[in-house]
Amino acid sequence: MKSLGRYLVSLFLSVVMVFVSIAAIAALVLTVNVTSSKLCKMSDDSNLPEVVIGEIGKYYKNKYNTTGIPAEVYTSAITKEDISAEIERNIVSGFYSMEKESSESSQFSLPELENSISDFFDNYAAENGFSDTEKLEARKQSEIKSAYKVISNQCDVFRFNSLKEHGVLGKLSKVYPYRRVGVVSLLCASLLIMVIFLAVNHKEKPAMLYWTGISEIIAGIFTAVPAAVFLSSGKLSAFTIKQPQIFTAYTSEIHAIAMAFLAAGLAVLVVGIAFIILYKIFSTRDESVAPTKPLPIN
Amino acid sequence: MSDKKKKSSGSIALHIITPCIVAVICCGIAVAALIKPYDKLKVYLNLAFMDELKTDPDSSSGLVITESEITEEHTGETYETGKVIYPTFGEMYAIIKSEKLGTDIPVYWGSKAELLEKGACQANSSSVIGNEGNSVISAHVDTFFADLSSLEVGDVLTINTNYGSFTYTVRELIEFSDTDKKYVTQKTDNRLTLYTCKRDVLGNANQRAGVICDLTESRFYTAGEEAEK
Repeated sequence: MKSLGRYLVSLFLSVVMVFVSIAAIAALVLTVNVTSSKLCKMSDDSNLPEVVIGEIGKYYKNKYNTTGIPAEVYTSAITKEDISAEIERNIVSGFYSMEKESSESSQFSLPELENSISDFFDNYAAENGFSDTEKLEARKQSEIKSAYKVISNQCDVFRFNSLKEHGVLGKLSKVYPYRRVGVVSLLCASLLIMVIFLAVNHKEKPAMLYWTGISEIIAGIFTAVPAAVFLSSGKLSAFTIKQPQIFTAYTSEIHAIAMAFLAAGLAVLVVGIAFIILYKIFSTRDESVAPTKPLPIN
Repeated sequence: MSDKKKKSSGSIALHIITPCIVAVICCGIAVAALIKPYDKLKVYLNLAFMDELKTDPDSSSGLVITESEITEEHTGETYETGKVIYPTFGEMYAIIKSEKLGTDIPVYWGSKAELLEKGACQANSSSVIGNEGNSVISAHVDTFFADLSSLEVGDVLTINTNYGSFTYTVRELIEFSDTDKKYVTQKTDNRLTLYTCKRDVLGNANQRAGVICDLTESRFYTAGEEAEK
């Protein structure tokens, strides 16, 4: 770092590299952690299907006073596997929307639920001598349709349908399909900056290691520290939506992403320290080589 | 030797100061670039993590907050005049929808600090939505009415209630002092007045900004006496 011009250029490149590294970390963390398979696994690990069944039961218990249909008509006919499949279908459909593709997943079908509701209405009609079969059938179909809507809504634990209605998924779909391209581009940009460091500091090649090292250390700190502060602040418990399955789904995913940012930041910090150590080794080696006396020309 | 030592200590100092210079420059750039996006993000963060904005839940104000499910898709017949269902104090009885306002905004009947944390509040001295007169609704500028200033004359808003759906068009942008009551008092025409605190970092917090909207369409779900006749 003996020339002021080279120093200033390297300083500028170092600042650029910090931001490129932070962007690369963010892109990589989000690409790896925000996928339909991760969200589906997280929902199973957090026992969300059981939570959803509980919420469906509560919903219909509250509705009993106005509809007269006991909650057991619904809850006895749905299983954990049905709910898990519907949660997964909602998640996959949400991601398909972000990829601007149409969902090819199968339609939600619960024959046991349909039979349970149908049997309830048939028994009720028989007990009360209700003979208008057309009206009964219309009522049955209306209740079945409503039940599907309620259960699907309860299973939309990440509220993808609401996000779609409010245009959020539409906005995300502009960037989401290009996430992998973004990660690769940012990593290539980092490598390019390292090559430029080498070119700028061609007279003192180990300096490339120093500049890369400090950039990575600063990028690592800027990523890890906010993540650590967020995780330790307990802000997640202040999440507004208190519906258990949505609260669990969102807070679990946000926690996982924050942990990933913390881990990635620490990893980049370690890489930066490694570059500094290498710089120290190589620059010491350069200094320790004694200048040779030029041989006289005979 | 001392020259070599001086050079060496100078080099070490430079090696230590340089990362600090880079860090300070990066902080400066980040702060400058992120002020506006943070302002926008803060609105959604406030909405998403609103428990921190809430007042002490142990404070016994006696307020009963009722969250109603508002009908947004009414498939039956609608009428130009109809019956209004009067809400109780603390009841969420309407939802404001507008592209420019971003999220759907719940409207609570009555003005109280706890209600302002949950949505927009309608002054209970003003007209219930759908009734004749001035319906006055306010909300916090850093949460639900963050985008109120983006409304322009001609923009359309819809308010859904469980007794009808009402469409308003922005007629006038207004600004007034918090002591000036001329926009929030009763009027003879059917209007909607939305207002919030005016954002002014270096100024005082006494200014209010908002919009006055004219009722352009009423769709009641139950016929009024005139329609029934």
